[in-house]
Amino acid sequence: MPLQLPPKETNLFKRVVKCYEQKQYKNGLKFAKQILSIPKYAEHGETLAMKGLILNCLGKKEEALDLVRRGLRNDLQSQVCWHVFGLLQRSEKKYDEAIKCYRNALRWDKDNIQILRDLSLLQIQMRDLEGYRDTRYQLLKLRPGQRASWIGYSMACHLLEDFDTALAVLEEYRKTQEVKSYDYEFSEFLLYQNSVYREAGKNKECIEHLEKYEKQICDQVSIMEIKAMVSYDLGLKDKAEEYYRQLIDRNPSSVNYYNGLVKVLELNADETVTNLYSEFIDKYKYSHAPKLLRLQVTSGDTFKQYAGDYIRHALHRGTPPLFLNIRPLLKDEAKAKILEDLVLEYKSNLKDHGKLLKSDENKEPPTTYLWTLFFLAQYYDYFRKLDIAIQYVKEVLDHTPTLIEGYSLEGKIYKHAHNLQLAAKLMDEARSLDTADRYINSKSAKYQLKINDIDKAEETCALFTREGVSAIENLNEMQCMWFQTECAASFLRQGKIGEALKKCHEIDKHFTDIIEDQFDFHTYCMRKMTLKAYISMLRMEDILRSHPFYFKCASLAIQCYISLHDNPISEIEEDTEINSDGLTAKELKKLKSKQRRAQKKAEEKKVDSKETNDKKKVDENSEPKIDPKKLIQISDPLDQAIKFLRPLQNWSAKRIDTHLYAFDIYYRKGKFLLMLQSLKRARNLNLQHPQLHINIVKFALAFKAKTDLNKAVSQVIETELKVLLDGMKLLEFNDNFMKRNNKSIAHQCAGAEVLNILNPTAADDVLKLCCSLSYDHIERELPTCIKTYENLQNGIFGKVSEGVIEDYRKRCGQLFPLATVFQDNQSVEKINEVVSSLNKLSVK
Amino acid sequence: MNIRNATIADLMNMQNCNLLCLPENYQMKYYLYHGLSWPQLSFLAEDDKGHVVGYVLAKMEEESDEAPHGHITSLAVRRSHRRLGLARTLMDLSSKAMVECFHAKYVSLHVRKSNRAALHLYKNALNFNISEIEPKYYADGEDAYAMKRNLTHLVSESKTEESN
Repeated sequence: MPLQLPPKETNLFKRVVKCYEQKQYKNGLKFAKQILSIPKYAEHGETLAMKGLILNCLGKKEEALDLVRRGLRNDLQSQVCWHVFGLLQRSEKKYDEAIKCYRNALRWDKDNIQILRDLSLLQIQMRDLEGYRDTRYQLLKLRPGQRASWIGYSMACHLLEDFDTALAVLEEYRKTQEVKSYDYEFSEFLLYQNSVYREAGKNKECIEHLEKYEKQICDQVSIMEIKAMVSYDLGLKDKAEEYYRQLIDRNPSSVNYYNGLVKVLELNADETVTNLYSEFIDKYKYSHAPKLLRLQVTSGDTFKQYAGDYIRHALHRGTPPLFLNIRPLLKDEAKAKILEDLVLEYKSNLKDHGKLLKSDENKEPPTTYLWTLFFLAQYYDYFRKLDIAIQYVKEVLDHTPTLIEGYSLEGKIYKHAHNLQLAAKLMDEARSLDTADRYINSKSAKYQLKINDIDKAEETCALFTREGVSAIENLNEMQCMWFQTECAASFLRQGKIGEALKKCHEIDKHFTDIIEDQFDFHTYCMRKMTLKAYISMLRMEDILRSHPFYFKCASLAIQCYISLHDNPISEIEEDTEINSDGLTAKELKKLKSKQRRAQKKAEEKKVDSKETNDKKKVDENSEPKIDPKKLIQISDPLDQAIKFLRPLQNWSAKRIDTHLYAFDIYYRKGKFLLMLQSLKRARNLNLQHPQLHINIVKFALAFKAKTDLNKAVSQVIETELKVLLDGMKLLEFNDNFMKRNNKSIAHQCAGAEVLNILNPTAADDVLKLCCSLSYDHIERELPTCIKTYENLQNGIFGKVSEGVIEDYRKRCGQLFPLATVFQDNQSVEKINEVVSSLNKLSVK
Repeated sequence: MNIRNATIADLMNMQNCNLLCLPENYQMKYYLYHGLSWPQLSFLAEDDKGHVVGYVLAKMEEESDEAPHGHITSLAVRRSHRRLGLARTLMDLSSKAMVECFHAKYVSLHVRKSNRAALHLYKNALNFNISEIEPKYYADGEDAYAMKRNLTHLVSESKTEESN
């Protein structure tokens, strides 16, 4: 039975609420106590609820929930109680529950502005766009004098693509605004309004709107960009050209603007485009963009001339990123050859005459030769002519032994050559030469992770992370995903599944947190009027997990779970797995009991200092730490894998790997229709993908073997399978696949793998296929050869004799002399000598 | 090499570049705060693969008693992409936007006393002056130079553009 408070207590209650709003929690509790200490009102619902709300802000979550529930039970028709409960649910991120509470609150007070506002925030956070619009409409009716009401409602309509209503409301709002000489917020409003015209496809209105109000818009760049794009869409090519030229003048380094201009001018002949770029190069001498664009559209002698100019200038000046700027051109074989010839010519000219061109007047400084060698090293590395690349980079270091870029490049080349130990050593050498640069530090740490030296990597990172906290912890706190993904990959390589999964879950949590981050900005952006940016935030958050880091994290997680499914970890292995300190079982037991005692002591201490803890502020970082052990003690690894697969299917459907992972999971689950779906999706992206080919055959065989499938399903699969197999039988399908892709080692190996599955007796043929190394540009296929070498040993190609494996290793060893995996022990020792001699040279 | 205004969709990649290059790091929410408060002020440089190789994260200082001024929260260019004039281009684009959109009179930043390369860039290439030393500004205790660059010349440039 809800109690009515007398005037004195009502005033006290109002003060409780005010204290809460002003974050004066201590006072709020004091006033609440005054009400509740009166026996008659000890169970006053709303007071209990408010007390709970305040306690929640002080971190006492359990007590808070208890009180709020109690308060609600005592007064189920109180909008205050429901509202408070909603706020609690929201603070626990239980948004669906919170929405229910707010709706209940509104039943008893349907026009409560505060509740409506809170509800609208949750609705937009959860993307309940219809609900959001309804709530915002209500707010508009109740508070037509507030600008947020108009903006909020129009945005809701905009998001639902009800452009007409959105525009009408925005225009009504605009009319109420007085024109000032400078008003950034209004400027942002106008840009937003304009963007809605554009999205609605009302290009004419868009340009008219812009021309009418542009004097009130501060953002000149946006004005020009909109005018350029919309003019083009309206067929006003002259105007569009004018605007693009203005934009280029403002930022001559924007590739987008040049592309826009070329599109507008409808230049098709390469020559005219070239002339256009030449015009800009003369005008904006320092910009690289037009120069590089010109190199893209020219060819033959013209290309040679312009490329030569660009490169000589860069070499003379000393521009380390020269190669990186040139790199996109190398896809064109003819251009690649021209570039190679050019720079080799410069090299010999410099060596023989000290000049880039024999006709040059002045001699070049010594650094020009250095950067020429540097470019050549990068060039040959790109094409995986690693022996030549190494030669050049060694010359670079002979020339200038302190050149950091020399060591980092050498490290990179050895990484490509698959001598990861040496690569890591060299990268660390580079790092040691500039301990103030985090970039080279990060590279060094990355290479240390590649050789699975996680401790060393952490030590390296610690040189730049916050003091007083472990590097691993700090890197997690700062959402350092490059490190965490590399770390997870390393753990996976080492078979430390629990640790790998912990990293994956940490990364996943970052994404969850970033989605959570939106919340405060729903009100903030309304206040600041940066509405265009706000809408783009909503859209970015909608597809947040499409980011490459998430893809990487999910790939690793899926691989972990599949591994867990295929090789469940036993109790003993578990203990060994967590035991990364190299302790024996006895030592581990001792350590564990020691830890248990320490933990007990710590908990006792905690109880004693509860008082002091209560006075402390809520620590936002007191998240429960993820336990790697718990992550692997699961009975449903494949279902866990699917949790990571879902966002990939939603947001990374254009990456074939998504569907290959899906197949791996559903194959193990025996879900035929889902297997089929993943095959079809993969096939739409790349018919000839080697792994897809293998999957199709596995699918066909699994289907053949499956006797208890539902008849309707079977029929569907029969039909679809015919399409997947191009109507062929399996062996024929495989032969056909290999014929079509006979120049690709990866495809031939896939064919061999399939042949072994279909016809294990054809061992000779299988080996002939997978062990062949006669391909053009075999030097670029080191990763495939390493994989094949592994597969020869793990049964993928059937039972293979030691002799065959050894023969393959030797032949690969000759092709890839720097790759340690193919070397015998003698050579590895030699390499280690080089590594240790570097130790002596190290400048710390 | 492409240089353009940074959008909300770019913030995660900017954060990554920052973590690779600098010890002063921020959580995503802080990047969102910049992008949603001053969308015109941050710029980035990206390579042909779309990787962020350089960026400037900028804001306006909100003190009402002083003249409005911009502030560079963070500026970085990967070591692999130095000597292309990226920092200068990024700074100039940001400064221009500060003047146009927010009527900034000057732009300020902090730099480590020991960071000779950055000091040289700001002083010589970008016309910043040291305005004061802020002791123990950085988390590791190092002092910072507070630097300022007057932007009034950009204001007059904008005005002539508008009248054209």
